[in-house]
Amino acid sequence: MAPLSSSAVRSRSRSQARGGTRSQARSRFRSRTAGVSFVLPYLAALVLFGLVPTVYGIATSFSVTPVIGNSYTSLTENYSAVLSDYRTLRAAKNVGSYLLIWLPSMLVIVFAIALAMDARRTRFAALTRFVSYVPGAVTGAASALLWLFMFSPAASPASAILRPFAGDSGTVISDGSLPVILSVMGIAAGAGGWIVLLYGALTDISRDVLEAAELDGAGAWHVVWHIKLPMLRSYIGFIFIVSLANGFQVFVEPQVLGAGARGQVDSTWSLNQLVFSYATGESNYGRASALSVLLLIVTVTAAVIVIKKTRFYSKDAA
Amino acid sequence: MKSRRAVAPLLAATGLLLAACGGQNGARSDVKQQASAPITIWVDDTRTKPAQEYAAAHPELKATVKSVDNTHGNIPAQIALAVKAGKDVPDAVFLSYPDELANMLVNPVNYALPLDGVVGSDVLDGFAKGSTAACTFDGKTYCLPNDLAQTVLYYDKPLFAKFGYSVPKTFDEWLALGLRVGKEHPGYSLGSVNSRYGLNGYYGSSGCAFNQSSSPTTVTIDVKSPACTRVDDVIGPLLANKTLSKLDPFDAAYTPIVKNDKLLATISPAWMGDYGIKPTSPKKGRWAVAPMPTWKGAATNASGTAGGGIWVVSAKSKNKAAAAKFATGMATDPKVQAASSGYPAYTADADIWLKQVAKDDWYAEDPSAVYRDAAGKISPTLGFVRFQVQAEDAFNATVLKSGGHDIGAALEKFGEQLTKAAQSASYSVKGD
Repeated sequence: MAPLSSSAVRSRSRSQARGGTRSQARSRFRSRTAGVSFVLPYLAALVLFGLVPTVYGIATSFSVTPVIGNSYTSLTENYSAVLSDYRTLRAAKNVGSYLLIWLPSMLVIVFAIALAMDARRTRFAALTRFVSYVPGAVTGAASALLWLFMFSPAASPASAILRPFAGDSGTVISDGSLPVILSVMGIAAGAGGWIVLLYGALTDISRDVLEAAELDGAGAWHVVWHIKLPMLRSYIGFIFIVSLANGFQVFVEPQVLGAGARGQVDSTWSLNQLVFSYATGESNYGRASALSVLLLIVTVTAAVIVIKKTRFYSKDAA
Repeated sequence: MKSRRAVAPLLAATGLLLAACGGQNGARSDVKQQASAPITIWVDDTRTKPAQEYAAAHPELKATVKSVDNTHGNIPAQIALAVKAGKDVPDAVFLSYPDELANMLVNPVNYALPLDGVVGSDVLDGFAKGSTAACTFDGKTYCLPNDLAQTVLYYDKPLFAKFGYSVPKTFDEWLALGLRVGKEHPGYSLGSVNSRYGLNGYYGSSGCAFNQSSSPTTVTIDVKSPACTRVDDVIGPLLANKTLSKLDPFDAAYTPIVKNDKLLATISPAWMGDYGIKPTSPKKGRWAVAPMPTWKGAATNASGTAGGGIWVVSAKSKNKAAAAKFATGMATDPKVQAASSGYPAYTADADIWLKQVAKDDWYAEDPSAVYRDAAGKISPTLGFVRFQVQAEDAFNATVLKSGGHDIGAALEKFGEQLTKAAQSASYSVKGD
């Protein structure tokens, strides 16, 4: 579908370059205003809720408010306070170990299930797609509440499985177990959507290519490794970027799990919880902004690296 | 998926945007007083009905009562944002987390009004002995205690009789009891030491300085003192033999202990009977209350505290007199306080309140004398600081996590984290 639409665009732009009649100019104007009017609401929202707060946040990160006395501007003070805070490294380690468990396992599971569904396009595959997508309907705080029960050995329907993992006080949820718990939650809630996306991308691979590979004597494994995986590279890159950005900012799940399993989870377990603590518990907007800006730098850098490595936009150039 | 994870930064961003519209926070300016200006009062859910009734009974104060979300930290945050945005702030607030007062004294909230000149010493002297101490910073009283959360020793009287135990009078006896329970009746519990129950209840009652503060900028932290280490000697072995629970008393995994009559005794705040034990263990005539045991080397017993609400009046109010009158009324009015959900801090009202408690046949015996005695014995080392949440987090991550194994090292680690937390909150740390 993508090549068709891009060729259509190309042929139209060619005709526009050639022609100079009035009707063509009018249609060009119309298509341009149509384009702008489609983008405008998003643009307004982006400026209002994306750019303005970002700029304001960056400005605030340079404003220091001492407990007593007047505010003043310092380029480094909030940043050094945040970086030297004993909680920052701990929260970064927590989030890091969560990402290390969650991202690879989710990518493997998503890719494997999508491949399996693509290999056997039966009614069973459609059912698998539906079943894997359904848990994604329960998200955010509701999902965290649900999992809070799932991970309470006293209340969980899967208590027999949980018992061996329970600590000496009979709980499963703790600072240390949270990376695994969040990974399970993240895969359950997020994998379905990505499976549907990857499955769609797999069905989009041209039959000719696959048949040619078969004629050349490529086995199933070769087809997966040398054709399907490279062709899905930008999709996997996209999943990686979005998941990384989301996972890096994990907030609701540890917050709700911590509120449920009282006293078992650090109230600043994740970096975003630390931002929240600065902003609300400690009323220190400068530090909250400084840490937010640092988080932004990390996720943007990661996104740029992944985009470069997966040649994310290369399809358009080809 | 994207949106739910963006909640925190969005919240922060909107807050900052709101703030952008307003002026700069800074020095407190004197607000011009208007004798007839209406006032707004913020309270939690529990206090809403009594406050509305009090407002209706005193129309001359022109008070509007607003029920607000009292999640820890929310009220100071709301006021800070309102101050930054140049909007009106409530004229008085009820804080169900009294440590929030420490935030209310400084930037960017700058809210609390010193009450010494406004309320009168006759009223201030009417509160239980020492109960206004934590409200006092640099010699000025910034809050009125509403109800107290003095710790006492709850015990299951028939169970003690059945097992042949006597109620401990010292913490050495408490330790001996715990060791016996661990051997003779494993599975029975002596209560929770999670978060504030262990930190404020045990270490606090021992006079261990971890949040001792009488100025917005200084705090005393001294976890190596005997007042702290003697607590290790008691809760270490009892954590190790699991008679003391690491769970929060309201954790779903803890409730069955109470429900199945496995809770033998607990050192808990005075509201724990009504709100923690009674709902799960409603059988009449089981629970009795005994005085706090005495710590080794201490001349007398003392109480810790976990909870207890306070009233704070706004320094920015246009009608400070009415706001102070309302707060004072709520904290001292016998009709309001007789129906209080917690032990009234105002002594005269506490006596009325205790008369009802004495009639409650859920108790195995009249607890009045014990509650009353403990109310005046809250350890003066317990203060309101800006890092109480971090202190409880650090306590759980060190002392509690140790499970009683090398608890001494865990306590030192706790002290280090505590000092960092205090410094991060702009305190200069004394002691240690």
